[in-house]
Amino acid sequence: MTAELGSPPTADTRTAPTRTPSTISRLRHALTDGAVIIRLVTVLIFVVASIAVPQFATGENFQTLLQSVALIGIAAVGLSLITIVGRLFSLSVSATIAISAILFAATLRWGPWTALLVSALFGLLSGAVQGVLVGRWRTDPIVTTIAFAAIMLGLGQLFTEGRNIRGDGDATVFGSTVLGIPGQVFAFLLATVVAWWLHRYTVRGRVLSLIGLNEKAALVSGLRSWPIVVLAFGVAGLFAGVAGGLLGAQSGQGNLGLGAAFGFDAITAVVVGGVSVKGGRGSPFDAAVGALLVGLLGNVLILAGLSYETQLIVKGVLVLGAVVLAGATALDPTTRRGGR
Amino acid sequence: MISLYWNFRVRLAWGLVLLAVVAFAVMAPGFLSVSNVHALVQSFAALGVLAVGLSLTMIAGEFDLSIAGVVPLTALITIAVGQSTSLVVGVVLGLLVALAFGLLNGWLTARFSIPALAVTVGTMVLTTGLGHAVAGGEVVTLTDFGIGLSLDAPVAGILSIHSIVELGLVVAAVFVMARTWTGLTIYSVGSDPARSAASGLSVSRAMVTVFVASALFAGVAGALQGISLAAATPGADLDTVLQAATAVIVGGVALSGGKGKVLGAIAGAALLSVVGNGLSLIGTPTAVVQLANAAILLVVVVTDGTLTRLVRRGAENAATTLVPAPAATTPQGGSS
Repeated sequence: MTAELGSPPTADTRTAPTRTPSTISRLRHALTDGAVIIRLVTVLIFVVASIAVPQFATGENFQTLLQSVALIGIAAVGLSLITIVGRLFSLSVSATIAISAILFAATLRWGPWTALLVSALFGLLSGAVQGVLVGRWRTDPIVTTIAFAAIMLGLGQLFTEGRNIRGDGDATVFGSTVLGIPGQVFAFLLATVVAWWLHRYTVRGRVLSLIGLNEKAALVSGLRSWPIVVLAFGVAGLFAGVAGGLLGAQSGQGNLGLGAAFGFDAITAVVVGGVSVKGGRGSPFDAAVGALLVGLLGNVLILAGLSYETQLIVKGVLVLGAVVLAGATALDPTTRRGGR
Repeated sequence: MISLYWNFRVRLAWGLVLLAVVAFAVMAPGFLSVSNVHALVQSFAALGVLAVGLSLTMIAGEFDLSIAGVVPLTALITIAVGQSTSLVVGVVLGLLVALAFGLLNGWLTARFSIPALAVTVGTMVLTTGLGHAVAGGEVVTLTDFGIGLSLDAPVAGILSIHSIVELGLVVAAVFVMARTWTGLTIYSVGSDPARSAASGLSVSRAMVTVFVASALFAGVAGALQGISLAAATPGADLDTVLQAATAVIVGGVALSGGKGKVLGAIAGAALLSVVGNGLSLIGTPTAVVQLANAAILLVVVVTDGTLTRLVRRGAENAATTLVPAPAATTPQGGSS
């Protein structure tokens, strides 16, 4: 699914010299594709956990699992666009989520949908501004987003004075379940489908990958990169804003510490899902799978009685493993240490 | 023109430091008192050592995010081991762990040619997790805080053992980067890794060197901070990374690598600590100080981004036409 732009012609000729690749070489190719491995690992963990961990395969636990994955997944799917367009990560996801949750709680008295809209618009705006800086003015994405995170949290600190903002209204509409599936999970599915469709079936989405793969080639083809970078940051911000709004709805309040871990969880999901940090390779769907894997692993570790610190350590090892795996499979001797 | 600008940046940063010192000396009574200067030097040395470590990785064209995890982890190990056995063992163990993570960062970055940022996100999460594991869910404290007090006790009025150790590391880094082959190699690798490798320089060795230096500097800062406070808490310390990165960038070290001076990073750290100290003396809330830092960072990043674009365009021109063209003055189409 991700191989359309993700597989360079050199890889094909290396594994299959004939025009029609045999089943074996196709299989070999699939097994060196990070995204495919991640999907297999996810299914494997799921099967093993269902058999080995007694409390795992219950309807109640699946609901908890999906709910814990949903918000991180929404943020990760948006973030993946930034990674695909070759701008590494945004480190302002946590800050966007925290401020969106505060805004949600503060505007809840005008109805839950208005509040969600406000959160989403805030995310979109903040993301788009960062996109303009990174895309048009070519600032470094990491430093820009760190600075933006500091500005957002600083302003939040000034306005809330560090207090907890309580939601003054009824936000249960987002907590309701349909057929036993929580509303947030539907939001996650919707976000994944929208981002995946945007990336796979629109011209802008295709250009997004091209810019990530080879920005110079895109430029030579007459494609300007900065509007697409703004688009990627805007969508990422929008999704982070929605995740923040839903988090505010879930907790009925908003404060600066809310969702602090979400930013790195989202990055973990993107990297683990097999989206290349060098840009161009991978899709939002991979990030969604990555979020599922990280959530699944966290859930299994909790059920197995492991502590928070062990989960963090496992996550760190997971990121390193995924990054190295991607680096090792994409290692091409002709482009060693080329641009990023 | 462009290289003039980058050289000018160090002087500009020091000029701003001087300006800030004069301004606060006028505005805030007590700014130049010995006790306040002592406090100022303390915070400057702590920030400076982190900024200098980070500047080495940035000169090599990379970024070390993992110091956000390494600083608290070393502090935790130092204090936890120091409490149960001896402080010396704690410091040594903490620094060894920092060293190990530096080696890991450098080796993975060089071996698999992955952006160091992705690697250091992983090691940051890993070190944060290890920090929580060392702490075991509580604040780790050292019952004997006499050592911490003597570490911070004024030496010659404004210095302390704490700041002397950190300033010593800073001076060493300045010397290595300005006067040795190692420093020259790091600059070369940062400005063009492919050509450096083609000229026979070891890119991997340079990478490992800068990441080990960055991790060790962070480790020393963390260990000293832990002993000073006689306590340590787990959790990623991103505020510190933001401050260090701001200092380095304000000091004129380019994120694209190969440009900038360690002296500039030191100036940036001095500027931030003077502004922070002065503003809090006047009674500004810390949130505003943070906002000011972030705003400074954004302005500098935008200016540098524009200039880097000009340089790159000029360089590409020169490379494609094979005619030595003066950088930045050659107009070329395309709005990259």
